[in-house]
Amino acid sequence: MSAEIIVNLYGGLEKYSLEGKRKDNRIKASKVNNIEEVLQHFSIPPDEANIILLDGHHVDLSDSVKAGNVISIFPLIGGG
Amino acid sequence: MQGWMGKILLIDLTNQKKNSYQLPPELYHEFLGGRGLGVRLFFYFMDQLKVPPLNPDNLLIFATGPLTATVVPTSGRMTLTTRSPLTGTIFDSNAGGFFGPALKGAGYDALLIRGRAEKLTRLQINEGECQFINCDDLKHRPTGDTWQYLKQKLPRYEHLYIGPAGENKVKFATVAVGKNRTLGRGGLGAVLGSKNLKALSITGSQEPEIADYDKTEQIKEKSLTYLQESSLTSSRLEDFGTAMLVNLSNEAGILPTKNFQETQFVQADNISGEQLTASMESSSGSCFNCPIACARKIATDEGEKSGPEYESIGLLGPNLAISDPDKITELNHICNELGLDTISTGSVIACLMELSEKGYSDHSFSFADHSGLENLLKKIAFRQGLGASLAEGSLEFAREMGHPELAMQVKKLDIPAFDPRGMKGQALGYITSNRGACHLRASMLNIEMLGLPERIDRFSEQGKASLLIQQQDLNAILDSLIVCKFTLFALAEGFYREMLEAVTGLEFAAAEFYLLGARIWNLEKIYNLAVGFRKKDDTLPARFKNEEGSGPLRGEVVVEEKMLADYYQLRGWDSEGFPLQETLEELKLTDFSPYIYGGEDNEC
Repeated sequence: MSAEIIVNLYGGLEKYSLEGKRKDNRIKASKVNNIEEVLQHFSIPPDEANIILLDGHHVDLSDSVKAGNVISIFPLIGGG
Repeated sequence: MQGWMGKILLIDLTNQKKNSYQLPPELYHEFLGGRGLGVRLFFYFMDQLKVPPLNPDNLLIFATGPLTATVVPTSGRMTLTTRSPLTGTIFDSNAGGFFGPALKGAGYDALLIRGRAEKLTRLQINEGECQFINCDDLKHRPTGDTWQYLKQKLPRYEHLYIGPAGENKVKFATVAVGKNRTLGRGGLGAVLGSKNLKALSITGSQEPEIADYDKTEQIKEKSLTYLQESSLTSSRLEDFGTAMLVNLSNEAGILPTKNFQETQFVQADNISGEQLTASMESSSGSCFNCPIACARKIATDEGEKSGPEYESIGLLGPNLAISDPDKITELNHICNELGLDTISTGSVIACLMELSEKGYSDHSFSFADHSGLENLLKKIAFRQGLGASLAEGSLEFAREMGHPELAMQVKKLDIPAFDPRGMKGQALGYITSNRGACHLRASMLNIEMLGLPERIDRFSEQGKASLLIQQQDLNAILDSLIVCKFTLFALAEGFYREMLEAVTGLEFAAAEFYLLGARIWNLEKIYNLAVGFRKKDDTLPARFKNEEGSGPLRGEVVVEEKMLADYYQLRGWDSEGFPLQETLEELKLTDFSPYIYGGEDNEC
């Protein structure tokens, strides 16, 4: 298993990517323990992260993360 | 009367006669306008509820609501109610733009059209004056051309019109409203086509009287403030359009892929709102009194085209395994020009592709080969060759091919781009919707996926029936006032009651306000029961009950029975889905009891 966590920053949040990337931002798994620390890593204000999915499932800031997880972060979005 | 104009206009195309009617005030108070007024008037004016949808006797009911043409934000919408040629249910579709205010400007809350013109006709209404104009020169003209013609000919009018698909009575033909809004679902364009009605243009200078002008202004300002404070309604919908949902749906595993055989699409980001905005020059557009401006225009080599909405991307993109955004934009554009519903079009073609993939059809169309699709759309619109079969809609087509299970629909209305296995409340919403599988009857996406107002477990069936009913009733009210559902992203529900009271001067206790929605919902249900729909029709295709989806939908299927039983009970219906007498009494619908319990000669 990869020792990295993959982070996707959608809906305009790619501005927080260190490499200006929307998809496939990578963090070493050893650097973060939970979702809140992932947000801190990218300096994303928690109130801008409205929907957070871990492997497609909704999670909270306190939920833990591990190597191989795919985390997708969205601001307040809508439509349909 | 305040808020409403107090009268409606009935036009018969067969004998070119018109009649104006004043409606009793309680009819407005009990059904508001738009969708509610539409279904109520359908009962009022239809002798034969079982009218074949494309028969001249079927009735088109264009209706506004008490908030239409007021300063209230997003109050430019209007509805069209009729019996759908696709579903056979009562069916309303609503669209933004500027037609609703123009209908009220002509002095009417609603315009009813029956009969059939001898030749292709356009109807021109300036307040009380109607002109029936032969328009053979517009025959089979695409919507873009038709719009240019009408706008040039009658610049002071607002217009709605059909494309070739409507004229050829394709079962999922649309009605174009203004330059770029659409009455998209249910094949209502075919009903206009069956009446030889190509276009309807309307103008007038009347305005609804407002009961409390100062209070209405205050509410408008307060609403605008909230809409402005939400990053979604102030800028993100304008920046990315509804296509911003593509990546969320994909990551959450609810993006229909290859006729819903899969629910994630590897190239989703390539066709997302973010990507479309970044890679193409685009602009936004808005409807009457709307600060949200969600409509997108994309500049192409051939000029400006409508940016595909989320649903169109889902059904014409991943559901056909298409990842090229230019191709999707082009297919969307052709559908718009021909007047085809992008959801049903994508669905019936996906069905064809799966039939080919499984060896049930020898046509060359497949998920791996997208050549010839542009031409296929034209064949559907003109009912040529294979197109004639596809034009009947996915279920009829799949039946003809011997595999009805491959049509992804409920009550013949094709399932939109949110897979029900990943949102169980939405699944129940598709099953119970009075117009077939529709995501707009209840905003379950907001609750189950977006966490508005608070997040709940989207995979659970528990408690979904009561949440859904609340949403269905609220949305029936919004469709009847009429305001745009996107305001729900920023406004609390109490706002809508305040708006209604300020405009009409009437008082609605909170409980009475919600009963309005339940009354409208139940009357639609009574219609469907009266024409023969039963519990067996409240069901999803087998795929969603037996096959799992992709990624987070591994192991997920929809278990209908318990949710549906809870739903019927909470609605005050019996175990077969018939409203109980006590329910009809609470909703002041006892006059309609004979339609479902006998005693009235209505051929049902």
